[in-house]
Amino acid sequence: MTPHRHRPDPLRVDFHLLDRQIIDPAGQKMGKVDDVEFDVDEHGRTTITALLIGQQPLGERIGGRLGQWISALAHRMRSDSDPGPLRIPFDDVIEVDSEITIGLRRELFDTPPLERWLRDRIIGRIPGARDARK
Amino acid sequence: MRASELLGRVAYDQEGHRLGKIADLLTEAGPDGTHQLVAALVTPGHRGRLLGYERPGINAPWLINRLAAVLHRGAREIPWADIRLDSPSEQ
Amino acid sequence: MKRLFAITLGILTAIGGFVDIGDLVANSEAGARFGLRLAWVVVVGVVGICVYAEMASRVAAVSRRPVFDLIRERLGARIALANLVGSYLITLLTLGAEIGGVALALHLASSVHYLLWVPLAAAAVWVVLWRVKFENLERFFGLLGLTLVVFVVALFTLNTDWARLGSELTSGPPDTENWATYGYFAIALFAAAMTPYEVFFLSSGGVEENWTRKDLVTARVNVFVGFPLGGLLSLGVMACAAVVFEPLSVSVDSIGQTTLPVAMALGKVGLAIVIIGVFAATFGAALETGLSNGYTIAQYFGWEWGKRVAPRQAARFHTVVLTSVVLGAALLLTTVDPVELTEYSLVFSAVVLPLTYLPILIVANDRDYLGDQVNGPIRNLLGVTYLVVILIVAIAAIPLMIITGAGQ
Repeated sequence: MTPHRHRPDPLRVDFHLLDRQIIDPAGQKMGKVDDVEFDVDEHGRTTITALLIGQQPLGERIGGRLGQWISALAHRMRSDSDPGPLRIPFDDVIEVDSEITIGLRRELFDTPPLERWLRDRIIGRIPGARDARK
Repeated sequence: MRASELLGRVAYDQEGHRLGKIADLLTEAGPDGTHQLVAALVTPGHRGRLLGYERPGINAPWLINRLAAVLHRGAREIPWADIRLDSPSEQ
Repeated sequence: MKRLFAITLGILTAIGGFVDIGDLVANSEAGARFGLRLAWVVVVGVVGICVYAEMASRVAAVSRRPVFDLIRERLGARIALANLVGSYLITLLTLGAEIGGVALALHLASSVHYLLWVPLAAAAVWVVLWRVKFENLERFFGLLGLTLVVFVVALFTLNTDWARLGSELTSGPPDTENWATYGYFAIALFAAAMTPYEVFFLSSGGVEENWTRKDLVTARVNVFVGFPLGGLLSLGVMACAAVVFEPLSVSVDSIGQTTLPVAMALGKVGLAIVIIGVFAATFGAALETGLSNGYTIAQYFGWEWGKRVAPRQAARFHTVVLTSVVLGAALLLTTVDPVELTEYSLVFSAVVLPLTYLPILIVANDRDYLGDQVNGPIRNLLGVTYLVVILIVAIAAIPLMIITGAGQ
């Protein structure tokens, strides 16, 4: 049974989706919607298939020199095993509000390469990295 | 295909007349839950985020509301089926 | 009773936390050259920051998200990126200036050259950011900053010509100056009162502390009582400089001079207290600007941020903070004069102000985030009026800097 969903109708891609914060059911931040993926079928029907998170799609969307710089930064972090931007199937989007809530926990996704690299090489090595300081 | 490839592009009508630039894409949920693209918000001029002032819910301060209205007058929704992304002269 | 204590604590923290190196430099330089003729600018600036700080606090308490976080959603990725670049660079400059202020305070206390203190000060700032609870950070340095009230005390102890000071409040520039330098220093004072990082920090801090609608009253009291009283401390700095330096036609260009009136009035004890005050104000501000640098970048990209999660969970945020502190220290190690650095950070802040404040006004009007707590007509009138002032200041800043040769 599909979970109860709340999505505006009509759903505006630029206004409701792009650049909105995405959070998981626990409230953990996934990132912001950097681009939206569509699928066009043979009849010309265009449907939303996924939300994309990543510096590369963001940089490409922004364009200009600054945009190129942002996507270049992401590109350099890519390793061979990294499949590219974080892709969240649109079916997993539960609520579209001032934040977009998805149904999958953040732990189910790969840690973004930049975060992983910084955590393993720098931040994670400093004593006290595991303690939250509320 | 990505949203970024559509947004900001020039939209033409079926006869090839320029309608303006695509500022937003409107989708509606079908019976199977998927959201299908049904219309585009087209502006003759500036494309930007429109500061969100075209929706209800934000209309103050008055000065900025007026400024946004002036910058983005002429924005209208056009059914996706009536839109072409290339003008006939480009073929 | 406990609530009263909490509120009082909040106000005191806000007062002590208001002054930073920009206020110290701008107010003492203006006081030395213009007496109290520019005091009205500080008042205007304080009202402005109150108006916008209240908006930012309200956004944090009602939408549960910091105001900068919402800018990308509201204005789009491109404009928000321009905002980010401007805000980040300005806050980085300010961070450098604040670390410089810490080093100068330590130099005053020890006679060890300030450059030798820079790496230590930067490291201390970062360690405190890494280890100390957010609330304790704010509390401790805010309360310690209250020692700057010693400027006001000194004012009453020195041979102050109150009549002269009073007559200056409504005068134009003195014979030794002209309208260009008057305008330049007015802009510096205004920028010192309305620095962008204040608003980002306040808003993100509110979310870090889990503010809800119930905290709106406390937040407003902190802003409307705490900030004006903090502004009074700034004016104390200006007035002391006016009493000591203006009659001698000496201009102020070092922190040692800024603190001199207190030393003259209250001797060694006074000097010790004021050095502690300068240290607390600059160290506290360095913490705030360091965190703000992290907040702006992390919130633009949607990364995890803040001290509520373990650093391992917010590696990108903490890397930005660490890198910013290092860059700030590096800036100082180029041996640029910290006071000059502060002056430049103020002028460039002035230029970037519209970029940072316009989005706040827009977000504060959005019912999707604030529901029924959006700006009323009066707040919008004030907000728009200040936006116009900010725009004028931003346009005039660089030309005036060039015309006056940065205030010569």
